[in-house]
Amino acid sequence: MVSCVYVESSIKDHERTLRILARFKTTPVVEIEHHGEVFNPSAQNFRLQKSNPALILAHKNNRHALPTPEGYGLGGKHNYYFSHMLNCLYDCRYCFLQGMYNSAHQVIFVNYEDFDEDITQICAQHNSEPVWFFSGYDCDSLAYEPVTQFANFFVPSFNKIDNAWLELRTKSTQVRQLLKHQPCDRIVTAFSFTEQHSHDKLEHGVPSIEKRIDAMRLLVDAGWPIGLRFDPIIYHDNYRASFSHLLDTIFSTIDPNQLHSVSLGAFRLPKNNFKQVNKLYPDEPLFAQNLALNSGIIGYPLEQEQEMMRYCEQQLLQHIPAHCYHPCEWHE
Amino acid sequence: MLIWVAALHCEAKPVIDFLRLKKSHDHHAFDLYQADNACCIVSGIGKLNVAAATAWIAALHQQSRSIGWINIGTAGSRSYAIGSAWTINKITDIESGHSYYPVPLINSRLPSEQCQTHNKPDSEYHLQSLSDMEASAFFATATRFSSAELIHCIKVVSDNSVTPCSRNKNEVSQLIQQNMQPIAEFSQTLTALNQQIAQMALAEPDWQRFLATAHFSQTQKTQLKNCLRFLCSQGDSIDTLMAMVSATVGTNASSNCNSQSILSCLAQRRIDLSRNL
Repeated sequence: MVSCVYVESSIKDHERTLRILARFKTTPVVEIEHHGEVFNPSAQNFRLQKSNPALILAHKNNRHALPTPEGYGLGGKHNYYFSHMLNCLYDCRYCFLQGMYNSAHQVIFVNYEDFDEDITQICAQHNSEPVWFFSGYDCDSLAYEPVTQFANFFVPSFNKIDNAWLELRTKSTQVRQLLKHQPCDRIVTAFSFTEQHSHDKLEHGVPSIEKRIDAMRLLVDAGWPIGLRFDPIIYHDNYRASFSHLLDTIFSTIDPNQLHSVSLGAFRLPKNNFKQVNKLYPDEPLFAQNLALNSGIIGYPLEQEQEMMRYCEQQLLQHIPAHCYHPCEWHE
Repeated sequence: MLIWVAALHCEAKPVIDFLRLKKSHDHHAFDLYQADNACCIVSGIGKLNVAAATAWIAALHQQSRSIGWINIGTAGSRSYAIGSAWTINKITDIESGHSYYPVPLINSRLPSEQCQTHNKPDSEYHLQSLSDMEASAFFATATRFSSAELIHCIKVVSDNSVTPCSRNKNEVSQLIQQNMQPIAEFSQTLTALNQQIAQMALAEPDWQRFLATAHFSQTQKTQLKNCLRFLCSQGDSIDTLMAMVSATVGTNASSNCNSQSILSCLAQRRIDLSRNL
């Protein structure tokens, strides 16, 4: 359900804009000069908007692909991220996007061709060395695929650049478009999971664990590389048993030897994001847990975090080959 | 608290009658009509008047946990029927060129349209926009006090290129009156949204009671507020929490020590209640 579609004047006649608008025939359309007019004002309440967000169709003028923050990546030397969307369809309480923007509206940048051009140039700068591009930083890569046709555009585009690697990170089951294409070894669809209790409490609107495992299996069967992201790990009294159960559930369907990569990270938020989301959700138990500030990041006290990570890592390595494991490291 | 802002008494009258608001005799800056959880202020025509009235009424309700706003009034249109009612999804101030975007969160029977705000009555009528004389200043002022989701404009078309603006007050009231049912539904949904925000805030008198128990630094005040808001959301009553705090204060001597003890006590309860999400 979209409450309104805002369209930047400069792209109102863009082919992708017209195709998206055709899906929202009964939704009011408002023309704007720049998406910042709607997206950036400070007098907005993310929590209220999240219940019924609007869609903003916009043009991204520059900085289409940027270097990732330190520590973000899968061991590659050259890492970039790009965002065809800002904000996510889902409403996960631990997500840093809640504290990132004033608005919960979803922005889609329709000029995919400009992203493609920048990606091609960046890859050329690195000669033939592998370059990783992460698309699920400011949004879920696939959740809005029926509207955005993002994968449908970028799969062929990455396919043709020999040293370009793409991570599609998702909590969705939207793999239909991918399955229409020939699999590409350099395009990894990484599925994020939290165990059942955290999923029930914190991942509002996210498809069930079982449905996501089914989607993973469809990709694996079609020959697509997949990844697993157990991030964030969240503490509760039963998290150990619940995490072990999640692994059992996943690996009863998915052959670990077919995994491209697996990563693991404890719940953490940059201090300023935490302050913002805590203000938005003062009633949220996750933010009332025993948390501590460490190197500008709010997370579990170090000792507790290490204990959690040790346990989950140990459980995980009982299932997967060590070479595909990439812990999320942010501590000095 | 839901505040209605109208330029003219004849525009306010259907709201006053529908909500059975009573005229306030305590204030003289503007005509004000009140009930327990709603009020309607008559600002006078134009941007300056509406900005002044909006700021004044917000100051009067500064202790409210959250305020929802509706600017109700008439507007001109080139093509829409006289008497048709609209919510506004884009307001453009013609003089400054600045645009504002009320957030369309409410599923309403009222359709939405854009509105241009002018300094003087607009007789030319824009093709795809309503014309009024208050909306931009109302919205810009109200967003100083509430978030945009809680601030809306409802305009009823009173004149168009065929039918000029009526000078008859009863006719103006009648135009709004005939739309009162969907307008009231809209206001009820807005009230529910506003309550979502209000429920997360502490009542000012309660907050002052806690502050009076010890000397809190600014950081400690933030921590105290976070604790209290969470514990209240989990079902703890203010009186129960106050009793916990009083018991803690009783066992400590210095004020500085008290504030730390109070925070430790509440923080521990918060952790206990949140450990299983």
